[in-house]
Amino acid sequence: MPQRTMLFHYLLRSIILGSFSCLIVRLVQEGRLHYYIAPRTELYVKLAALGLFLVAVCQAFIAFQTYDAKRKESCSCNHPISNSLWKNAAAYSLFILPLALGLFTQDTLLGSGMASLKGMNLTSSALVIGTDSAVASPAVIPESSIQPDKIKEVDLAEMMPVTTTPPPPATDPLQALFPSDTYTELHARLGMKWYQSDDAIAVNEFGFMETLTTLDLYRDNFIGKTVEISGFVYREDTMKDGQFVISRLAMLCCSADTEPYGILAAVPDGNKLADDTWVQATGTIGLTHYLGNEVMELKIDELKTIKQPKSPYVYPDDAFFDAMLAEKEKEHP
Amino acid sequence: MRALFYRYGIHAIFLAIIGLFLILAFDPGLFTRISMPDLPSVQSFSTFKTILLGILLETLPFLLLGVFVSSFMQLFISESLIRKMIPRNPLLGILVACLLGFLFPVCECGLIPIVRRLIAKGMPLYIGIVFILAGPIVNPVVIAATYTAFRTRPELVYSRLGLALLVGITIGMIVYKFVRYNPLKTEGQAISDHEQHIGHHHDHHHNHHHHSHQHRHEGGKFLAMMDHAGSEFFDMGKYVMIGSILTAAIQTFLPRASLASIGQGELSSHLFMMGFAYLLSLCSTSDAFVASSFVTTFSSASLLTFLVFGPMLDFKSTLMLLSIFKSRFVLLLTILIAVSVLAGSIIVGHFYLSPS
Repeated sequence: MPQRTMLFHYLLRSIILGSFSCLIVRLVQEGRLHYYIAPRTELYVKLAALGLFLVAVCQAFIAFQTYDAKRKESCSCNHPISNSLWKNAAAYSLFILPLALGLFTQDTLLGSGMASLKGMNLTSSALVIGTDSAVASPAVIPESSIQPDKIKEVDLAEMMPVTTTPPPPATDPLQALFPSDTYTELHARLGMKWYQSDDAIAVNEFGFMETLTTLDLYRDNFIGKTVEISGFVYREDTMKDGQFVISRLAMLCCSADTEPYGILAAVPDGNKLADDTWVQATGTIGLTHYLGNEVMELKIDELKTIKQPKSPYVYPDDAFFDAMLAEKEKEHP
Repeated sequence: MRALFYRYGIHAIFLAIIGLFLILAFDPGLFTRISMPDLPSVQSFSTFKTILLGILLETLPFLLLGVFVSSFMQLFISESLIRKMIPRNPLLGILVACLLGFLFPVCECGLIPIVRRLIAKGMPLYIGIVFILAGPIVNPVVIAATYTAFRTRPELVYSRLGLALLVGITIGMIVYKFVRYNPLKTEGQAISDHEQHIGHHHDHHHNHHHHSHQHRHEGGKFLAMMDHAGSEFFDMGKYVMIGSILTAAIQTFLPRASLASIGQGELSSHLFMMGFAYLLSLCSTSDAFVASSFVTTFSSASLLTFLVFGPMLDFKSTLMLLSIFKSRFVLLLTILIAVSVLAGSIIVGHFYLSPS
């Protein structure tokens, strides 16, 4: 292959690799890496930026060697570079397209659009309760649920009553209210702590999913309890007047695996709130039925719109239970 | 090349201009519509972009690691060493391959370049295949991630591991027994030419610099590794790019619920989960989290299908497999994986997950 062509390839590769590295560095510097990647994977991405930069520099160095005609042989015989201009153009543009999207278009956070694509999870206790016995006979889906977003909530009330967890020897009336098995033991302990306390339960960024799961798991015990929560407004066509979901997106590794979790809320003039508005709300827990499932509903007492937080996603983290339960021991030594 | 560029380039520019005029002639309102898109499409676009970049940023470290390891092996590990390390007994070899994931805890995007290199260096095909199939599941990172997502259902974690090993071993045996041809796309000949060439390169180097620059040898090798890493990054990367772009598009434009309504029967839920895992092309470290959001709508057995099938075969990895193997072999592999995962998870589902 002519040297000129190789020179061109090396330079172009160097530029593309360097730009990927720049993209990552810029996202880190401007604090927007978490738009795409969960904190637990950030380190790898930063290391990748270093690696990409290293390869970019080496490719540029090889390009100059090629230019000086010092380097007669190259090691790319195993994957021969196509001679066709079009094939090369197509291959490189595959790299340039995402790069251009990353560098030249605005970074946005996911919101209710993603939530409706994925389907809102209103009954997060399903995460910790086995449902197999019920699901073995395929769930009958009401016709209305053929519409987007509604599948998840099918007949949950019947499918997984809390009583499926084996009732423990109820010596203590409190423990009888919070039946648990090995998997829900932490939820039960946290639930008992909240049950005994008069303070409002704060659903924060840290432990968002865990808190909602605990509340949902023992929702009957928490009726009337005050809850403070913030999130974005999400609506479905099947919701009643003034109803909406206060939701946040939970991310494990990257933006492709986000899952929406939230709590149904109702306020008389709720329709005024536009989708994706960030709100902070205080309300009391009640129960309602949504698409045939018993779900919690927050009767809003106080609601204000807030600015979108800097880190709007939440990350599932078991450390939340440790933190909350340790706090308990500090209070009552 | 330059003449070629001019010749084609000028043609292309002319074609583009004429095409543009034609389009405008037929549809003069085109640009006003493009410049003022309606709101939903803006939202879809930004969702697409966010998902695409998320997938890419998550994949890049693993792809890069795979490319580095592969390039390192290319230049620093000899074929005879690899031949020596592989057990003679095929059964033992397959068992070792199952556990290689503990040595390279990367997902399939990083594994495929490594396996290609290992096969080119003389590792038997069946061991490479077992590594590709079992490696993305039977490795510490993925086990930990699965355990986190299904903490309440450890039986699903065990059956994911067990089924992955079983399918890997079965397919490894079948490949060992029945595949007699060389399935690599670049024929073995091209690779051995390459090895010779590397040898030449070094001789050449030696003759030139031996007397004065002994240390240049190492530098040259490092540069050769980086050269190789660059080529391989683009070689493998283009499939990762196509896969990520299409995956992001699927996730953006196909609401999950519209898919979920398809499969609700016993068999159809399994088939749906296979198709879903294939289309999503998630990394095996995060697919358990996505699967856990399905616990209310799908049986454990069909979640098992999702968890085992996805890392073994999905859209992104099919493209990558096609880049190193002949399409006939990829087709065989696809059928084997689909059939054995389906059969396996139905059996496991009946006798272990929900015995009734």
